[in-house]
Amino acid sequence: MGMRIEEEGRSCRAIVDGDVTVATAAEIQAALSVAVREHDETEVDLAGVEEMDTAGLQIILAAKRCAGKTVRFVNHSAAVLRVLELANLGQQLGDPLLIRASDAAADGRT
Amino acid sequence: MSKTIMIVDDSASLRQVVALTLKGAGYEVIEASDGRDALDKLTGQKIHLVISDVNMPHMDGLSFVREMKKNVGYRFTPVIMLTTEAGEDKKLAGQDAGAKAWVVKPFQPQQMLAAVSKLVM
Amino acid sequence: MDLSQALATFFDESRDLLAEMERILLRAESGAPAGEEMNALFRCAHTIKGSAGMFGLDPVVRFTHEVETLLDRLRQGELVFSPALVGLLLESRDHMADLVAVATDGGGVDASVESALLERLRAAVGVPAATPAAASVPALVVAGAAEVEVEASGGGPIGNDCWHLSLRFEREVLQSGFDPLAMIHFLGSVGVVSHIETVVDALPDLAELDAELCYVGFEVALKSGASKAEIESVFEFVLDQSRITILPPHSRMEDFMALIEDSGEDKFRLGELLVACGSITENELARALAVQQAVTAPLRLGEVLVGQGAVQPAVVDAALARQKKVEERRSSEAKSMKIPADRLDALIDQVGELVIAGAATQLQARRANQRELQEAASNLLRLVEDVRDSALRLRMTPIGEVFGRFPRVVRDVARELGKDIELTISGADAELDKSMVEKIGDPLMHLVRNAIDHGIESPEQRTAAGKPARGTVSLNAYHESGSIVIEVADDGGGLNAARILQKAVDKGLVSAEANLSPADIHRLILEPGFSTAEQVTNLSGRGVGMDVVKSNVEALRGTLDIDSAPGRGTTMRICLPLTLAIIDGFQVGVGPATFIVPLDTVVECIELPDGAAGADYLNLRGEVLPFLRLRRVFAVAGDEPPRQNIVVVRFGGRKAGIAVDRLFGECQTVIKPLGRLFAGVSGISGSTILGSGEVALILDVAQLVHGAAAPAGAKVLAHTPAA
Repeated sequence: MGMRIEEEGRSCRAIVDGDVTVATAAEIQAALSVAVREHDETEVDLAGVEEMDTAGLQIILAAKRCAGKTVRFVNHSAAVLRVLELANLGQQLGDPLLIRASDAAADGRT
Repeated sequence: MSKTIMIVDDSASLRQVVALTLKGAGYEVIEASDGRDALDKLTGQKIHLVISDVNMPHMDGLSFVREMKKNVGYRFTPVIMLTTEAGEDKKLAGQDAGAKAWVVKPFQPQQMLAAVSKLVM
Repeated sequence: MDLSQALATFFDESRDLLAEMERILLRAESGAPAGEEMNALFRCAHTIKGSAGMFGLDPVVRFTHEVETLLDRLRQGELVFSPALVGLLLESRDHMADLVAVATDGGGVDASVESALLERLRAAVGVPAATPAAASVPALVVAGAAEVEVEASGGGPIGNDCWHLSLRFEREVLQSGFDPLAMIHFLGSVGVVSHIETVVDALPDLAELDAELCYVGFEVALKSGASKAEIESVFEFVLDQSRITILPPHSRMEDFMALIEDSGEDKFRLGELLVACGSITENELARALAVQQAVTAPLRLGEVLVGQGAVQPAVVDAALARQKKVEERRSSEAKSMKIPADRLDALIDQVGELVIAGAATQLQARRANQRELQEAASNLLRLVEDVRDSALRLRMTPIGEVFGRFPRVVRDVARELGKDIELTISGADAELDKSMVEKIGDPLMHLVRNAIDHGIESPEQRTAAGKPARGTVSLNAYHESGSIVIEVADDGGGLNAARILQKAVDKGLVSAEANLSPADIHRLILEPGFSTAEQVTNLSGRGVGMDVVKSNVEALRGTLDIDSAPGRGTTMRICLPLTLAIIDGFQVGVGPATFIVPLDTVVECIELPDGAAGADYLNLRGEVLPFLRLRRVFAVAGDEPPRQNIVVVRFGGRKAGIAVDRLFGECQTVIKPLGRLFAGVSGISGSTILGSGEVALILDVAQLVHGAAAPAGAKVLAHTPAA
């Protein structure tokens, strides 16, 4: 689990893997806030997120509010979509949500 | 991905019923017969919830939870303590140990499932 | 859900607990139980009550509750044991036994006995008989559910037919292990969430966010026929510390205003959220706010949650996702059932006896020289053997149960060490005895950690050596001639033979002059007190060496072998028997004694060549075969016959010969463990009873082979390591 940053000049791509839960949130928040601070544009790839809870949701919400910066979340995994749906936030974050059939099916138990 | 729940109780039949109920609802279940057994079985894998009795041989539930919470990997793992006495002092001791949810024994299997569902999605 | 199996466990368990209770109480007659014994006594009642409640055995719960109360007072030292009290508890125990028996077999108990006992129990505790202690009705802790009724406080009911929930959580709620989203998810089981607004006003900026605290709240409109207490119980575990407000459908505007007032949050903002939920209308809100206070400035009610930037409509049809999330019910779960291990063991034991009896029958039939009887006897024996195989298979579990925990371990350990490591697993469905599955976990864990820690080089070293930066650790299992082989392999640097030898010499494990093959040198790391790590890392430097792994494996009648090539990696190979209970044996004789060689270790039998007298090696088709004489190993009396035979055995990749007088052929062998008296005898793993009633010893081929092929040479049997 964790986060990997790929630099692309003034912008970067953050690839999040594993769990984004209270157990990992501090680590991810620290890494993401550095990435956002140092780039104009940050694209966060959520395809590898296996679990997300309220702590994870808060990170997404806080990142979207960073003034003067563009933060985009892409490739939401099934676990992320489930949380956004629960909180009724899918529309309001303004990121296009694409569901891959495999993800949707893989989410198993609801 | 299904979630993993550990049930720690010295009663095999109680563990069996809880395990059966939870497995029926799609959870993975790890059974342990007392605190020490439970610690032995926490071998680094992800556990989403621990259900533990208080009064057990070898290592009681509160000591177990205290030990478990020392491990970074299980710091925030939710714990449901099982108790007959819903006594406040026991609860306070449990709070200190890191156990915030209590379910009174005896309970019906469905009540346990409901309690679990409130803590694990 | 079929609880019959669990119920059977409950009856077993209760019987044990009641017996335990009786034992302790009987001892209590000569001295009050204290400490752990007192706890154990309390636990007997506690456990029976707890489990009985789950099966809805209310009579057991009700009565046991009273017994438990008395025991608790005794445990707390608030009451002291007296002969009368012990007598009462014994009678109560008997009544509990009756109640459990009634639950098992039906029938009834004598109500007058029960009421008399209850009266005495309550008298002992000090509760007036007239006010029975509250029988514990199975229930969850529901912290003070507030009144459902809404105070009529003027103003007609407004809003719609939804409950309105306003949820603000304690900051530390997440650290306590609670996830508000899980509770919201669970709301779906008491009703239908018609609308939900996530309240993020308290959320700090990303940089200042303490990610382990909870800042978000929720406003929820819920369609539900449930009672307020039921809805509230969804939040039972966080009620104490959190602000959970639940307004029933058609609540009055006053209630909403009170909610807004008490929130301490921006009134307009909160009001807006209530409107968004559909719990109140914009008009109602405006009117209420206007009435309450003069609105000084026109407030824009329109700031969206995450605000700035064009909000594009979601591409997604979230409902689609939901449809696709097919509930994966594990139907396989229902097809398996749990059996207490001791019952299985008893069955296997009995089948073992049956095999012996079958063999005896066949022997008699042969002696009687009746063809039909012989045929019938061998048919019977064949069926018995099938039954034996099936019985043994009941205990078989896939090794994957153990392998499953390693992906996480490898990931975490590799991270800790700054290495990039991939774990590959194969053969997870290879099966072995359940008891071995449990015991092999720790040795494997050690080997895997070793492979990561010592085996795989750092990414820099790997790249410099022209290997991919990412190392591979693989776990593999497969069956081989009645054994299961489990391999832990890495593609690291391999064992450094020179350094191992140097260290072994330094530590006095081996003399500097010893002429050792690379394989022998590798095996030195299995010696007690050996560690190759140049720096003690926090992973391996825990005082547990490879020697412990080796002895763990040997305790399971297995072997541990090492295969290592410099620069290419190391493979640790554990070879274990599939089961510990019954084996196919090969019967041999030395003088008057009979021995059993496990058949799966037997390669072939040859005649001991002339002129081999006194030798320890013989030439087997050009191959040097060390052999030992069983007569000498076990000091069997009598002279060697002129013609002897060699049983060629193989274990863990090594071959050796065992010289015996006679070969008797294959037989079923039920292993009887040796008594403690013989625990130190090496070369023997157990005994068995032959069809003729004679006792035969089972050879421990692993030890014998190890002895015969030990590097130091021939006469090493005397100090083969004890398993």
